[in-house]
Order: sequence, then structure tokens, then C-alpha cells
Amino acid sequence: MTLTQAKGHFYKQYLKLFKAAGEWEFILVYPLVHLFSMGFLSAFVSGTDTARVALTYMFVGAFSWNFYVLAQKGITYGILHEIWSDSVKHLATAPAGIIDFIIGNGAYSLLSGLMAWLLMYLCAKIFFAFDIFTAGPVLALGLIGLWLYGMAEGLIVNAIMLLKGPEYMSITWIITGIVMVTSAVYYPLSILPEPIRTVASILPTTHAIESIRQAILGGNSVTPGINAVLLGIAYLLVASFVFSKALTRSKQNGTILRL
Amino acid sequence: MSIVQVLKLEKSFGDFKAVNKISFEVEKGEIFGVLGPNGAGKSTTLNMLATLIEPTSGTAVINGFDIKKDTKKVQEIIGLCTSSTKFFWDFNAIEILNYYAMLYDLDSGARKRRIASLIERFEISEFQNKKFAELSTGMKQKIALAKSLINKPKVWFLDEPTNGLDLEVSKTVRKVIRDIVKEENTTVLLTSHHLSEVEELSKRIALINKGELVVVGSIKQVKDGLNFFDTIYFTLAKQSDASQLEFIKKIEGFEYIRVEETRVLVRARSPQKLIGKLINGLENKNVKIYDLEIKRASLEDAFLKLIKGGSGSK
Ligand SMILES: Nc1ncnc2c1ncn2[C@@H]1O[C@H](COP(=O)(O)OP(=O)(O)OP(=O)(O)O)[C@@H](O)[C@H]1O
Ligand SMILES: [Mg+2]
Repeated sequence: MTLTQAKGHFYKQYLKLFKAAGEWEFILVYPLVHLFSMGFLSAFVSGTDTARVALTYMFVGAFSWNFYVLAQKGITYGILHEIWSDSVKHLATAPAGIIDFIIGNGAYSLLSGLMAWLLMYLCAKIFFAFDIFTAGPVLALGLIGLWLYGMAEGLIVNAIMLLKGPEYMSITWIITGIVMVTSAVYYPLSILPEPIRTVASILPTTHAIESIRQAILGGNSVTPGINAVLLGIAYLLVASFVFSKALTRSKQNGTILRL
Repeated sequence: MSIVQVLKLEKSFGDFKAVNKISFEVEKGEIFGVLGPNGAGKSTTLNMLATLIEPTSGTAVINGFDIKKDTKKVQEIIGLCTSSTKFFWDFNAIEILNYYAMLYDLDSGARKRRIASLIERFEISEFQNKKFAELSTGMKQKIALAKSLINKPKVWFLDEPTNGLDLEVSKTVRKVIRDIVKEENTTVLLTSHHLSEVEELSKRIALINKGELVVVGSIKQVKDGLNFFDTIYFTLAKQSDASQLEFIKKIEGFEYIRVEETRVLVRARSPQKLIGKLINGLENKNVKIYDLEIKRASLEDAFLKLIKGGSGSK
């Protein structure tokens, strides 16, 4: 593991942002589409205290959701770009390791997530008078939790693609869909039926989003934020292990040659 | 000690054995040819040595490092280039080389120097700012070769590097291969379907067929082992002179003579050494000839004979 090797991964993603089609939309379009549809929805029901709370739920959901998706995308595209251009073998024979891969692409995940946030922050502030930063320092914990979990999920999707082929990329949308419903992105956890709430409790996203919401609505507990980070670390460790095993496996059974 | 030792290397894909316990060694600084028909297992062998796929059993040691145990160390000192290599279609040569130079842990000074030298060597500068997708096959292959040399590999694996290239570019590629071997003391393992190319570049070869190692040795040994003769043809000025040719049979080294009217065919192992005696003999007997031609037994002949004869022939 070296800084240069990690930087290599970051360099590729950075160039891709300016060269490949369909890269900016993750940073510019989807986050704003979410933000504005949530904003207009809450304007529609505005006027009551409940509406103010609902607005917080929807905006925190939109902010968190896009940050997590971008974290995941950075890791998945770390391999997908290679698969699409039929150049996986260069990556698979280079001496850069899995840690370089995670650090380089993870740094890009973070950067792209923060760029989307800046944009969302400005629009939310200007058009809907909503300021995510009123959450205070807890916000950092929530963000780190989302980032770690997004990367973990990206690594699992990568592992599946290495073993099964790039068409399994669509697994991403299934997983993110399930995570969206289960981790109570746009509504309070208490709305969910009991069994799903149990699943939710082991997802870092649930705790991360809850921590940010709580902070904005006046709570002062750091516990959900810390839970999000700790769970995120655990998920990332397990996912790194799975990814590394999948890479070895695909070199053993030859699927890597077909990517 | 050999720089590459292949030790009972074996690869199965499911039930199918693509490479079956092959062993051979490659000496430092040589260009070693790996030959065999389509599907023989050449690429599979090179891919295992280059750590792209893992052997099912057996291993190889490259510059003292085991490909299974010291994979990263091996990756640092090898380069792999195949035919029709692809890269990100929207990157240009400089960006591609920079990306991989970073993955090979070259610091910024080393990157600049290495990339500049490769660009010069492969004459990439005219198209260095063009997107990869917009380049011709030859230009793409130059970038692929340059990329595989980015880390100054000690062992360079070339899997059909001139496949699909025109004569001019193929020639340039062969020249670069020889230059690199000389200047950077690199060892090359090369596969090719152009046997003349292998004959031109390599002294030693391994022949693989259906995953089995058929023969390994110098090209000369392979040909001699198969009892291959070079052939001398000449044409007599007068048909009646044929009766004067008995002396040829007595010259040691000539194995076979056939006369058809004025056309004469003589077989020998190393005709260059005997040609003087032949011409002297003809002069002494006052036999006049029009022309004389030596046809060398080609690797192609050896190759075909070995494949037809199946494995294990000597
Ligand atoms: N990933 C894979 N999965 C299954 N079988 C494979 C795989 N890769 C190669 N094979 C099989 O292994 C055998 C050897 O293939 P390989 O590519 O090594 O041959 P080759 O000698 O390089 O042939 P060519 O001259 O055509 O390039 C072939 O029968 C091929 O079908
Ligand atoms: Mg091949």
C-alpha cells in the first residue's frame, strides 16, 4: 500500500469525471431532483409544525441518500470503468492492493459526495430556507457512517460482479432500494413494522440518518452517530474481506478473464 | 539460476485441463518463444505467470519470487502485453500511462522520465493527445506495449504482440523487443503464430499442444531432434552430367541425393559447411551448373511434424 498507488485510483476517477458521459449527473442532477421534489412536496403541506418536521425528514433523507449513493458509486465504478473498457487485466496484474483501491476510490467517493452536498446545501438554503448545518458536529458522525457503509456496499457489489459478471451491477439498485425502505430514510423508524425495525437497527444508514435528524430537531444525543460510525467500520471490514476473497476466487476459476 | 522457473504448472477450468503440469526454465536476458496451435494453452500459461489467473496446481518462480506466495513482488517486476489490448476509450496515451505508472508506485519524477522515454521509443508523441478510441490498431498496440513496460519489468510477457499489425509496425515492435532486452536486460516470454517471427527473435522455444509440453530447447535442437535437413537445389547445364554426381554420396554430411533430369536435390544437416566441397567436386568433374539454392528447414516444418506426431516425439 502506498499513497501513490491510492492516488492512481483517485486520478482515474477524477479524469473520468471530466471525460466520461454520465458522471456529473450523480453529483449535479439526481441530488437536486431529490432535493427539489422533497422541497416542493413540503411546500405543498406547509404551514403547520408537523410540516416543519416533515420538511426536515425529507431534506435529511435527500441529503443522506445521495451522499450514501455517491460513496457506493465511487467504489463500484472503480471496477466498472475497467470492465466497460475491457481493461480489468491491467488492474488485476498491477501491484496496487485492495487497500489502495479502497483509499483512492473512497477519497473520490467522499469528494463527489461533498460536492453534491455543497450544491444541495446552497439550493436548500436559498429556495427552502433549510440549513442542514444546524445539525452541528453530529453531522460529521452521520456522514462518516454513510460514507463507510456506502463503500462497504460498493465492495460487495464489486465482489458479486467479479464472480458473476458485470450484468450483476443491477444488484446495486435492488440493494439500495431495500436499504432505502428499511433504514427509514424519509420517515421515523417507529412507522416501520417490528420485524423490519430489527433489520433497520443493524444498518448504519438508519443510525446515521436518525442522528442527523435528531440533531436538527433539537436532540443532543451522540449515540446514534457513534453507532453509525462503528457499524460502518464493521461493514467495511467485512466487505473488504469478501471483496478480496472474490478477487482471489475469480483468478482461480478464470471468471476474471471474461470481465 | 534461471530467472523464470515453471514448475509443474497446471490449470483447469472446471473439468477441462487447459495446461497440464508443464515445466521449463527461461534464462535471464533471453527471448523465449512459446509456440502451439490455437487453444494449446499458451495464453493460459502466460496469464498464470503474469498473476492474472491462479494455477490449479504447481507454481512458478520469477526472479526468486513464487507467483502464488509473493504475488505482489512478482507483479512489481513483470509486464504483460497481449494483442488487441484495450484501455479507457476516453483517455489519451499520457493519461493512460500516468494512471498505470501510479498503480506501479512510480513517484512523479520517475513517472515523467519513464513516460517520456516510452513515448520516444514507441514514437507516440504524434498521437499522444488523442483519445484511445480514435487511434488505429497499430497506435493502440504501441500504447499497450508502452504500458506493459511502465515499471521497467525484469520479465516481459508478450502474448501475440504483433497480431493484427502491418509489416512496418510489426518490424518496429520486433526491434523494440530486441532493444529492450539489450538496454534494460529484460527477459522476454513471447507467443506468436508467426513462426518466422519467433525464429528471428528467439534462440529457445517451448512447444505446447493440448496443454502438454511437447518439446523445449533451442530451435536448432528442435529441428535436429526431428531429423530435419536443409536442402540444396541446383540445375545441371547438361542432363548427361548426372552420371558424374556419384562423388556427392561420398562427401560426409550429405544424406540424400535425388536427380530428376537436370534438377538435383541434395539433403544435408548443415549445408553451409559442405557447399565448398560440393562446388570443388563439380569443378573437378567439369560439371557445369546454372544455379544453386539452399532452402533451410523451417520452424514451421518442425512445428507441423510435432503437432501431427502428437506429444512426446523427440
Ligand atoms: N476463462 C476460461 N474458461 C474456460 N476455458 C478457458 C478459459 N480460458 C481459456 N480456456 C480454454 O483453455 C484452452 C487454452 O486456451 P488458451 O487461450 O490458453 O490457448 P492459446 O494457446 O493461447 O490459443 P490461441 O493461439 O488461440 O491464442 C482453450 O481450450 C480455451 O477454450
Ligand atoms: Mg492465446
